[in-house]
Amino acid sequence: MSYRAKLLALFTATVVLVTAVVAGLASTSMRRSFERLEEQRTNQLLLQFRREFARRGDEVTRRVQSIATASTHMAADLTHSSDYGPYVNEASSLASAHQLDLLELLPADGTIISSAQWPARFGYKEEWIAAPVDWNAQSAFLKREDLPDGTALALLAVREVRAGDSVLYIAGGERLDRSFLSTLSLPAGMRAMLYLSTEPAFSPQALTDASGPVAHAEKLAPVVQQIQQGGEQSSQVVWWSADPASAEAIHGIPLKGRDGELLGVLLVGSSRCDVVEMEKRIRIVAMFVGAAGVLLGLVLSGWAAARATRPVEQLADAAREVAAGNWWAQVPITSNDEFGELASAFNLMTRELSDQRERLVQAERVAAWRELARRLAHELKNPLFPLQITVENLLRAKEQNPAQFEEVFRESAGTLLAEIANLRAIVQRFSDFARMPAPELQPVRLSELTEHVLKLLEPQFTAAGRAPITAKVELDPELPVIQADPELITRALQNLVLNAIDAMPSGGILTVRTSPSDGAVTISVSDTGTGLTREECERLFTPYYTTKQHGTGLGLAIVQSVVSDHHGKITVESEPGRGSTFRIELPLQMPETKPTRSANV
Amino acid sequence: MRRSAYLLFAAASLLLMLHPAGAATRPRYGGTLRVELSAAPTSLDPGQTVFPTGTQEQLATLMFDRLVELDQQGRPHPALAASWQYEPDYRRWVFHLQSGVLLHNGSPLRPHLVVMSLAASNPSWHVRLQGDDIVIESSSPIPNLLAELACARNSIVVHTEAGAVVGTGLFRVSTWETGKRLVLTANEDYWGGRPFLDSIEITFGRSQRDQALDLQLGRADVVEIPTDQIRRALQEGQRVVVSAPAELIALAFSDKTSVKEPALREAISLSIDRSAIQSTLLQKQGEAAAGLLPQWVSGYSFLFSVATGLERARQLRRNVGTAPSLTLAYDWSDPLARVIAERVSVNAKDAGIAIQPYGENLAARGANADVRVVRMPLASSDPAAALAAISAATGRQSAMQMAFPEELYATDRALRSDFRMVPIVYVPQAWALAAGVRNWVTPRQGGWRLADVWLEGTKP
Repeated sequence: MSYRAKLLALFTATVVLVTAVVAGLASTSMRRSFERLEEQRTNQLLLQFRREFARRGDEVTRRVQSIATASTHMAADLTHSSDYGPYVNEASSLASAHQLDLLELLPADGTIISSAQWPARFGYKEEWIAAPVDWNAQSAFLKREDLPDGTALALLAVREVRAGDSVLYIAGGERLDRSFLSTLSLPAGMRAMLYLSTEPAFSPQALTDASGPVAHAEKLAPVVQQIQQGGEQSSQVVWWSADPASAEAIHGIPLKGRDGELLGVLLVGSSRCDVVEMEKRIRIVAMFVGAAGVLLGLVLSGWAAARATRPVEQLADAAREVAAGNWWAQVPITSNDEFGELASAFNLMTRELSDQRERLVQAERVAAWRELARRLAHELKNPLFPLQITVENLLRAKEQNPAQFEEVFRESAGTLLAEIANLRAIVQRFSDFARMPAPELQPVRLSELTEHVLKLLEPQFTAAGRAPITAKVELDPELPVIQADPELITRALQNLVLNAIDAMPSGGILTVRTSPSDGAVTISVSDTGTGLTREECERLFTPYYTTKQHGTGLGLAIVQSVVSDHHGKITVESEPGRGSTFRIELPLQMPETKPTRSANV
Repeated sequence: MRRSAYLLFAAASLLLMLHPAGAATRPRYGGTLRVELSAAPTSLDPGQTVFPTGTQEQLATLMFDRLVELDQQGRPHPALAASWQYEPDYRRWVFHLQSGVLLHNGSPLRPHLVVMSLAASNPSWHVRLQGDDIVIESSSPIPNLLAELACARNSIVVHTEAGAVVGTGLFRVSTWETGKRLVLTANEDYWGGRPFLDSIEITFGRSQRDQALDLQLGRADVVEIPTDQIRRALQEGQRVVVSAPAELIALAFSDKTSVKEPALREAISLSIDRSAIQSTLLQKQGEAAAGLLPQWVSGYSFLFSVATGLERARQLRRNVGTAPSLTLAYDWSDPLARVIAERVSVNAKDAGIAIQPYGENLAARGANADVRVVRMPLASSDPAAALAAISAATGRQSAMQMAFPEELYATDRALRSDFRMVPIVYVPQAWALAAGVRNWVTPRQGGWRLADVWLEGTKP
């Protein structure tokens, strides 16, 4: 992975992480805000409901008070008569006129004179009303009332009418049922439900709202039971279906009588549909914004990574140029930061390297010339000494033994010619190295070429006067065809094989292998000879350097030159006493540019 | 003598001078009497049901005649039968019909039509013709036959070939819209003389509130007054006519298993506070009923205690063991039946018996209820005939002798011994009359006698 990609990944990860953290914090904050808002809204609604409830209680009290005010004559009549018969239907009329569901008229002993809710119950006693209570100071309260069709919860108010010694109680109220619930003024999204059973076990049938029995009422059982057990109000969020918008915050309020006894439970449901919908919308917007942020972050990360890595890339390009031989490659300095300093240092380095290389080249050139002069002197000195001896023998024979001069002359002439030929050969080798031709490329099967070279040199393996050499050939017949100059490659291989033979004067094993590699083919030539030291290996390809008694030091230099002209690579692995291995790697395809052989030695 | 005659003449002259408007109060022919009723009968045939409702009985007295009528004191008088004879053992009776009686369709009333009508209403009798006379025979003595013949169910009803019913009564049917409206016109050929009224227009199914309103607005001449409203109506100065207690309100238990235990039924009977119902719900009208007949008819009803026996009721309830909640049906159009049913429910609750009252259409007759509140009009002012009617209505054809009060008493007890029928109260019939209704006579046992009723202000 490139540095830019790493940087981009890092930036992106940072952006995504930061976005996620921000989104998480924003979501949490938003949820808490909504919860606070929902709580405030619910509290407001509950407050509004309590006010409405209190208002209904006040309304009931007012109506009962109104009846009481108009019932003074009745109280007075009852002072004189215990015949309650004429009033048996009075409560129904009054209740109808004052829009009360429940109304009972009772004298001091609590006997029902008239009952609107249960006309047939006249004559029975309501013991609770005769208790010592200042009813006129009492506000409306909740009470469980027996009705013909069962028991009901009622919001009752009692007023006391006095006429002389006679007392008449007016107990009236409204029944808390679905009709009562339907008349409550509740905000949109809110509903009220009544649970009117006092049995310990939850009874779904006892739960009703303004429209009738509540479906899936059992889901509200925990709230009801919690209130039944604790007596305090309780809240819970109920999901009526898998849809989150079906959630409803349920707040249970215990309905208690005058003595604090639990008479029922009022459940106020507040739909969370709007909140859920709002949260959903905000979540969608947040997702869009987050996605846009991540996208923008990616773009900015890419731009920043590109901007940050451009100097590095320029440096890398320059380094590649240097590697390609452009020692004068320079990096533009576009900033004064660390990258600017790096670029400046790189430029300084290339300048220094160029200068040093120039100096090195000059030094090497001088050294080469010296080596050439030394080698040339050495090469020429050997034939010159016989030439000198031969000429001196001729001169001595002429002067001291003229009779044998002819014979000496013929022998000396032969020697001179031989040495001159030797000199010519030396000069020819130098000349050949100097005139190394450019490779003429054509398809070459390297294994076949190698086999051909080995066949040419095979007699050398068992030449007389030397220990035999065993050839071990491992050629890959499936080796890909390469573009190469077969003549040059042949010469290089011959040099390597001859060097290997020279390296094994006591005989040994010559191993030649060809094998494919990644986009190239490899040929290796190994011997089991004396091997080379590390220093010898380093200087092995230097022209005119040789480790042999008789050699020009141009063989491996020629090999390296051929390999280099084929854009290949030659390496040597050697260890003294264990032989050496030369490995040539040639590319399958030559680069487009026409190779130019360096003139430098 | 002459002096007395002069004095009489002078007094008559003086009366005429002091009362110049006397001419205006003389009965007049003509006019339509507008009556409103809460009931909605589906048939005009009093013989169609064994025990016709009060409304059916009232309508029957207008359209149909009987062989005999009872007066206010319960004494028999000839009606379609001009005279009669009977054997000393009361097993054979012979009636001689009046002559010249015409049916509403103009055809004469033949004796065989009478035989057919009576035979249809009384399967246990042997009714036959003997010349132009009607002979009624029975295997057992029927000493109270005249009273029974005076009952509405023994009205002489002739079924025509077209399926209509015609009678010989004061009025003939002009328009009949089942359960909604009935228009009767005067029978010009009535054997007893034409009534004063030209017609009677009866509207059915009117609520009591609407009836009161229509009376006040002059849209009705005669409306019903519920028993519990009689006192108030009188206090308000309305023109109210009230009969003697003439209708029994009782509990009729079904044959369902839920009420098969006589002890349970007795417990319910004992729990009922009849006095409170009479004094409060009925506003002291009518009378608490422990027997099947009102005191004025039976003469012995006071012997039956109407006191509540709550302790005994609770004990009986405990003895019964587990008992289901019972259903008590009442006619939803009858407010008095409703409050009585509710009171019974309240009282029964004190005895530990759960009763759930509910209203239903009268036609349903509480078919699904364990018990129902029923109204049974007094069929006759004769106790034996009235008990016989009740006996027949409850499906128990009693063959008991009821010639003497002790036999009537025993029959009354016997009919209630299984507590299938539990009397609660006897209530009177009451009517509010418009100012122009004259000469209204209310029979003690209820019903209408409109033969002499006329309307003031009606142009002849």
